[in-house]
Amino acid sequence: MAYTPSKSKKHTTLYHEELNLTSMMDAMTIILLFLLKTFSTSDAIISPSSDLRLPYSLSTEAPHKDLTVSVTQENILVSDNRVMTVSEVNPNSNAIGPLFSELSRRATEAKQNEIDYGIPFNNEVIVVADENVPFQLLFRVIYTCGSSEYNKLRLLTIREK
Amino acid sequence: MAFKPSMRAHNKIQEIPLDIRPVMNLMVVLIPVLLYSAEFVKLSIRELNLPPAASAENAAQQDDLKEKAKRFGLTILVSKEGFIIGNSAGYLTGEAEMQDGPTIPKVGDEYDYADLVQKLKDVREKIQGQGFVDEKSVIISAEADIPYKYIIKLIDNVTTYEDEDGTQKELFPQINIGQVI
Repeated sequence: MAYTPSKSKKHTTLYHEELNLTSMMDAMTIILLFLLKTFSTSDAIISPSSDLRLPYSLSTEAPHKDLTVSVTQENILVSDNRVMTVSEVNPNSNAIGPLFSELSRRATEAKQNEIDYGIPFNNEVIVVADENVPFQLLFRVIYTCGSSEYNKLRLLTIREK
Repeated sequence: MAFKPSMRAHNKIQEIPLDIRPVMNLMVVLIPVLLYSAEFVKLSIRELNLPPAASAENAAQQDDLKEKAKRFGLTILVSKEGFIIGNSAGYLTGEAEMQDGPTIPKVGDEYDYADLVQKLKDVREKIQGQGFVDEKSVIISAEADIPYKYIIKLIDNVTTYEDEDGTQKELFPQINIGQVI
């Protein structure tokens, strides 16, 4: 008859081992600190896209959320809603018709809100333009904003370190 | 014969592993939250000066102001060949031999910002204290197909400059955008 292995000895080698989490905790703490440093409470002003690359600037003035007019290489958008394509811009006039009517509509709405709910209308608009937009188009957008009551203009850029 | 000391005395020193699982749970939740609100690209803005939309009554007012005030009207024009500095009276000429060329021609394929800042510093010194109402403002204009990035770069160089001892000083902080007539 074969020798029967001891039943008590058989289980002694299987002892419970704790997973060592200390190094993972260290990494987590560092990541947490890094993320806290880049934390920002303000909302995203722009929705990034491949045909909207902002130029770099040395300006350090921080932006705040406002009405935005975006000029990408193909489209003109007001608050992320497409108003028209760049090719629809009338080459013979400084004012851009569809953009003007959209901005005027928003200005009227904003002024009505000022009366109804006391939200101040500050005439501010942020121009978000692609770095390769030609000057003439940029000028026309600025001109149109200026003539439709949005005359406090700001140009959005990426801060250079 | 004395008693053997009780083994119980040593039972108290027993290492309890610290339970860090709750902390880990918190970390795992915190990291996605912070990642979501992390700001990887720092944005900034440039302010422009634009006159309010002309209406009948303030147009008359503005005309009044215009007559009283002495204006210099410094203009910088970006062309494909370089920068042209001028004002309502005329343009600064560049090198003597090229009368029709820009004030500051391009160096190779790049615009010469250093020379521009130098010229603007001269202009600023000359017009300061002469009672011009617009001694801090500049009109920036460009040819129709100059990309926007050059305009922003120009604005950067026109608003402030770095002194010899490395301090930032203002040059022409009020920027207007104009069109070539």
